[in-house]
Formats: sequence, structure tokens, C-alpha cells
Amino acid sequence: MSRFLDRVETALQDEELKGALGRATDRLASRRSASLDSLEDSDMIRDMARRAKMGLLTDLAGNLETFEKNLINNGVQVHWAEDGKAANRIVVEIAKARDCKRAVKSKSMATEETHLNHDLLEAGLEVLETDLGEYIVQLAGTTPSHIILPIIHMTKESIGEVMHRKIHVPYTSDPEKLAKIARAKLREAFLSADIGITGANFGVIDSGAVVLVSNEGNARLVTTLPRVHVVLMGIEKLVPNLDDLDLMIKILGRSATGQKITTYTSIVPGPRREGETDGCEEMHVILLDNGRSRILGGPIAEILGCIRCGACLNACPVYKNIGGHAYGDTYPGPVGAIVTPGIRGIKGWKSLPDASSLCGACRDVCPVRLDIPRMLLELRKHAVEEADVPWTLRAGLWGFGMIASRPWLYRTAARLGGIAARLMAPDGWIKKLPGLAGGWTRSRDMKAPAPKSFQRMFRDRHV
Amino acid sequence: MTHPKTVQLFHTCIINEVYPEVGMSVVNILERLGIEVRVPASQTCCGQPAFNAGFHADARKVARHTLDLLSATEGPIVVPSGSCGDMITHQYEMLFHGDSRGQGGEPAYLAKARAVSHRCYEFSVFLVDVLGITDLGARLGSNAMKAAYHPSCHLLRGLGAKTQPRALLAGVQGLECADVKDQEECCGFGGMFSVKNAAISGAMLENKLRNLEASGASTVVSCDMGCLMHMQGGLRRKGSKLEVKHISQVLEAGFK
Amino acid sequence: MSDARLAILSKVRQAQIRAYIPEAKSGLPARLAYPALDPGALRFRLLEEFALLGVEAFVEASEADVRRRLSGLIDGKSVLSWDPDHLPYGAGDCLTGAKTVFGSDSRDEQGQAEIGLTGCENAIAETGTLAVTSGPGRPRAASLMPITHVVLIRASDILLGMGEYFRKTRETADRGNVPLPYVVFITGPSRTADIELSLTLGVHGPGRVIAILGP
Repeated sequence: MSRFLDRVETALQDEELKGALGRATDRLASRRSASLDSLEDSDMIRDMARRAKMGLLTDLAGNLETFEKNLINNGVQVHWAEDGKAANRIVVEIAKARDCKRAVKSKSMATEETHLNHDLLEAGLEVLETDLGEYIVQLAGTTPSHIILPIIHMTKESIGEVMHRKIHVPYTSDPEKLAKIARAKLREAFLSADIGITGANFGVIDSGAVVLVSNEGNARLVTTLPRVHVVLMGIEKLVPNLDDLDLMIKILGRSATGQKITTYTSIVPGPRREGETDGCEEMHVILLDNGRSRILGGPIAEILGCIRCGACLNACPVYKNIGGHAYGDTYPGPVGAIVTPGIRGIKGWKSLPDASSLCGACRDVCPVRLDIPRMLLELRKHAVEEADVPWTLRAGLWGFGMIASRPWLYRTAARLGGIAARLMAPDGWIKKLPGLAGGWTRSRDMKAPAPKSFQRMFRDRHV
Repeated sequence: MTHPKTVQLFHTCIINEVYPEVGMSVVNILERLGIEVRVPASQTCCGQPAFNAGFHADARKVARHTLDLLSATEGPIVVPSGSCGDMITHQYEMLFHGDSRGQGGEPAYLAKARAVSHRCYEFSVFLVDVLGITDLGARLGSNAMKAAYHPSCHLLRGLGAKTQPRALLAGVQGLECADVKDQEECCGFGGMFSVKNAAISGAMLENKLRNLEASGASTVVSCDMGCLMHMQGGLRRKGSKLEVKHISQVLEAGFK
Repeated sequence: MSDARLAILSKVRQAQIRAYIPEAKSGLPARLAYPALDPGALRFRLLEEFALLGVEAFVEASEADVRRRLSGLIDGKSVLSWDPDHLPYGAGDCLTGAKTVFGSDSRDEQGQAEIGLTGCENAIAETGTLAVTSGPGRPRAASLMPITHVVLIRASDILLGMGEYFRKTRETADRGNVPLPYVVFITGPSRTADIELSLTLGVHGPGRVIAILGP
């Protein structure tokens, strides 16, 4: 059994996960749909946002060069990283060269992807996550299980327990009190931090600016107080201009949490300017490839338009049952089932695109209308071509293709199969199937084929 | 489209082998409406099992066979399944398209796929959108029942048919449609998914069956026998009394 | 520049030739249109959104009323404020009643302030959003660090949508050939729902936002 299926079994037996996850995803999904319903022209706005995202991919290289030029004009230092290790090395070098000791971070999937915290700690820096959920994840020593709500899998009781154990505060499960404790702890950290690390929700090409959204305000503190600000962003996280940014902002908050707009949207066009008393003194942007150029060159290029809203997670019946950790890497849910094999390679990750009933709920809610089921199918094809597939499956489907394209053979095989099945199931129902098919009878009976096929019934009547 | 006199029935492999009576209900309804039903005898399967598993070369063999035989016919093609209908309408194109520059594609079959796609209608869509019928005159009389409609994913989201089956059910006198929690959520079938990811599929099925049973319905109605076979197998395992029916069986029951 | 830059750009350039990028839907407008609304309607919409967000709003008829309202809120309190000449309605005069710190004061002193006082470049009616730019004399910390944020809004600065703000800003920047200003869009109090989706205000930024709308 693969590691993925092991993780699935663990998740399905986790009652805390089931309760917390089901409640939260249901509420997020209904808030999303209500808030999009209230947006006039929401269909058109989604189409326009999709156009902007897809359009910039057709010349991503040129767009990156323009973005870089405009960043430099705004006084930003630009770095390029081919993979996660290289990105982390750049961050460490920046920190060391500026004698930075304490880093504060706001929620960033890109830094989760590169495992930045690990490398920073190894280099002797202190690192603190400042998003409430990420802070608790860090205290608990785990990883986020949702793009928007990192601790969607935890109950308030277990969160209280973690805070009690790790920072020695009296136990409470009152969310308000827990948040107050975190505010006080983190405020101290902000005031003494010398380097702030963020991802980017968007990079505005024509403005040379980085856009950060947050509900808590921690991203603002991270970019306001420390003297150095480092942005780690994937090379695809661009929008052409402010008009397009307007579209993205309209759909991002609504799709993520059902808010018309996230509480804070900061547009950061470089370090503090002359005469200003806050904002970083130095700003660095690291443009991260880490497999994205490979994704661009194939049939799943479309996924590079993802704005990381998390709506597909909340809509996905698979995610709702197994949670984020079962996906085994940074990005969970339908988007993760595409991004993870995309950036890490299909070998070792082919279970992810398989773990979908192709129900299409993700495609329906995606604000930029990414055809996620199509991409899952492309990855399955890729897996058959590139990765190890059990020979039984390969032989089985070869046999299917051979038989189902020859009607006489097909009819014979169906008749023989039907006879065998009815022998196994005198009452018409099979309780246990052998081999791979045994998955079916794990939780359902199998109806045996009818003694007389439809074609024969039809012929009997019409001849 | 003018009222067609003849249709081709692509009966799907599940109906042919496991639920032949559903195919007969479809035929009965169409014939009662004065339409001649032709059943191309050499049809097998649409090829979706291989396609969804990523085995495109094997899926193409089956799809070529299906396209060859359907291309040789004329008139609308009725498919009593949203899933197989979606496969023929949308996925065949992807199957023969090749990459962004057409490499690895098969232009001749792509052209056939597009032509066939335009002739292809799921059964309920055919009744409502092509024939313009929502009331078939079905009367349940003393067999009045509360039914839970299950919109199959590929019909609802693949083919975008949300209203047609509901309109047909609304036309059945004596049938009350039950409210089902998370009605549009997948039942967990997904073909090979139900076998390869049996645990997740089983959990999805469990949620679905719980919601269906809580709805107070006595029958689950859908346009896809794949989903219904899956739910029926689960209901039977649980020992539930809930029955499953293809929409054609409900529509036909009234005017027998 | 670096080898990595060349390597990435060349990989991207190779890839984008082969990329399968679905075509966009046709017939879409080039950009969104924002209908012109009269000032009364804009203010009404803004107040509606403020109410939904939990922003406390006061509408004042005259400059003197604005100052009176402000004094009532800040007298005797410690206030981290924009420099007086950046505040509208002569509101700088009200600071005499408070213990005031500015952007130029130490961060520790700023951290002690109970109230942050700022103006705003624009207010966005559609979402109840404040567009607060920063610059010399207008520290970012004022709308961020204290637990209460008081903002002064001029009636003529209310716009319908964020897109209008963007267009205006873009044009100003292009005309002067200057970079965009740092701007934060603030929509209600700081909030989190990370713990079981239960809404908590003021987790990092202000937990209270008070808007005074002047003439």
C-alpha cells in the first residue's frame, strides 16, 4: 500500500479531523457562494481575471523581465532561484550580510514549499511565524493543512493545549483569549525583529510592486517594522497591471473566505522612501522557479493561473474527508494534486491525481475557472507514461482496450463474465471481489450482470 | 432542431450488461413519443475506464471504434448517462487533440469526435431541450412517492444539465422531490476511483447515503446508472430499504 | 546578472512555446466600468458597508463638528498621529488635548499609543475600504499598531470601487513619472477566524476602527 493510502487511512480514522474539517469547509463554501452571488457581473469578472492570468503566461519570460526592471527602478533588489534550496540560501545570505538575527514571517505557501524555516534555523537565525494559524502550527511542530486556514484540522481545545504546553500560558479554549495571548507574544517579536519574510499574493508587473493580503495585519507588521524585507514568490504570481489587480482582489477574498475584500491589502512598491519613518530600509524579491518552468512547458500550464484562494479545497469531497496532511506536501486539495506532481515530479506523487472522482466541484468554484479535472486526467496520462504503474492495471486496461474495440470479442467476454459472476452470486449480488476490484466490495456489494443483455431484449422485441 | 423521427441509442455498457430494463424504459418512452430507436449492434463501451486511468492509447482504440460506428449513423445520438455523454461530448476531443501543437493528435478522429459531439444528447437533455417536453404525462396514482434526485457530477457539471431532469420529475404527478443535504456532492463513484481509492470513495458514499436516508425519500432517482449502481451497492450492504431508479423508469412507471 | 536568472528565463522561454494555454472567452470588455454615482449615494453605500464591517462611523456637518467629535474621542488618550499638516479639517489642533506621538518618535513610544489617528487618500464605498497611503509625516504604524484606529474621511474623497482608485493613482504616477506610493487598503478591524472559524477582532492590527466623515 502506498504512503498516500496509509495517510488516507489515518486521516479517515481521525474523529477530531472529521468534525473540525467538515464544519469549517461547509461554512466556507456557503459563505463563498453567497458573496459571489452578491457581486454584480461575477461571471464576467471571473472570465476577465482568467484572461489576465492566462494572457501573461503566453510571454511569462518577457513579463518577468519587465517586472524585474520595474522592481529595480523602485529600489528593490531582485534575486532568482532555480529551486527551493537556492531560494533559502539567498535568504540566509541576505540575513547574514545585514547581521539579522531574528526573522518574523507572515503566511507564505512559497516558503513552506522550500522549507525555509528549517534552513534559517540551521543557519542560526530565530524564525517566528506570525499568522495566528501558522504560529500555532509552528508551536505544534506540524505543517499547515489548508491554504487559507492552516489549522482547519484542529479544535480549539487542542489549540489551547498546544499553547499551554509550548508557551506555558494557562490553558484556555476560548478563541478570543487565545488570540489575545498570541497578539501580545507576537508584538514583542515584531518589535525586536530585524528581518521580515513574506510571500506575495501578486506582483504587479507594470508597477514593480508586491501585493500582500491578510486579515490579521501581520503581513503589514512584517513589512513595516523590520529593517529588511524579503519576498519569496513563485515566478507565476504576476498580474499585468492595476486594472487586473482590481479583478483579482474582487474574487480572491470572496472565494477564500466569503469576504468582499480581505481586511488588509498592501501594495508595496519598494523600500521606505526619503523622509519616511517606517517600512523596511531594504527590500529584496526572490523569484522562485522550482519546477514552474517545467509546468509551463506542458499540458498543465493552466495551473500557473491559480491565485491560491483555497475554494477548491472547501468544495472537494475528497479533501473534506481526508484533510490537507494526507496530500503529503505543501499544497493540499485539488490544486495540490496538480501542483505537487508539477513541482516535485510525477514519480512518487502519482497517487495524488488518482485521488479524485473527477466530480468537477473544484472547477465550478475556481475563481479563474481552472479546468482542474482536465489537468488531473493529463497527469494520470503522464503517470502511465513516466511512472511505475502496477503491471496488473496496465494489463487489465490493455485487455479492456483490445476487447472493447472488437464487438464480437466484447460480447463473448461480457457473456462469460456474466456467467462467472452469477455463479459467485446466486442472489445477484457479489459480496467480495478478488484483487484490485476488492476495493469495491470493501464498502458495497456488487450487482451481478443480468442474464439477458439489453441488446438481446431489444432484439427480441423488435425483430 | 426539427422533431427527429429516428434516434441512435448509445446504451452504455452498464445498462447493456447490468441494467437492461433501464434501456427498455428509455426505448419505451422514446417510442411512445413516436421516435424510432435504432441500436447500433456493434457498440461496446465509450472507453472512459481506460481514459480516466490515464491509458490513452487503450482508450483511443475503444473511442475510434465508437466514433467509427456512430459516424456511420445519422440523427441525434441519445445516451442514457451523463458520464458517458460527457466522455463522448467533451473528453473524446481531449483524447484525440494531441499537445498544444497538435503533436500526437489524430486529426481525422478529432474531426469525427467534434461531429459526433454535436449530435450527442443525454436522455433527459434530449427530452427537454430537443423535444421540448417536460410533462410526459406520468401519473403515479396510488404509487405516489417521495424521491431524492441525485444530480450526477458529469451530467450536472460536465454537461451543465442542472434543470432538465428536475423539470421532468416536476412533471410527474404524485412524485414529491425531497430536499437532500449537499445534494450536488459526488457520491464517490468516479469509476476506477472507487476501487483504487476505496477508502475515500467509501467515506464519500457513506456521507451521501446518510444524507439521502435523512431526506425521507423512498427512492433515489438519477440519470446515471454508474452512480446508482454504486449507491445501490452501498445501500444493500447497509441493509437499507431505499431503492434506486433511473429517471426513465420513473417517467415510464406512470404511463404504463 | 546571475546564472540562475539566465537559466530560469531561458527555461521559461523554451516552455512558453510549448505551453498549452487555453484561449480566453471572447467578447469581454477591456476593463471594468464604474458608473458615476452622486456623492450622497456614495456616502450612503460607504456607511452601509461600514455597518456590516463593524466600523463605527460618525457623519459631521462642518469642520468644527469634525474637530469636536475627534476631541471627544482622543482627549486625555495617548495618540500616534500623522503630522498635523497632513490631517484634514485642521484636526491637528485637537492633538493638544491628547498625549501625542508621531512617526519620528521612538518605536517603543509608538507602541504605547492607545489610538492611531490618520487621514486617508480615498474611501471605497463598494467595500467599505480605506485607502491609506504613507509617506513623510504619514507613518504606516499609525493605522496599524494601536488597538484603535481613528480615520478622517473627506466627503469628496469617496470613490465607488477600488478600480477607480487604481486608475487615478496610475495616472498620477505616470504623469509625474514617479513610482506608486505605498498604500494599504483597510477594510474594517483586524480579524482572524483561524480558530474553528470563530471571529476574533484585533489580532494584530486595530480591533476598533472609527471613521469620521466630514463635509
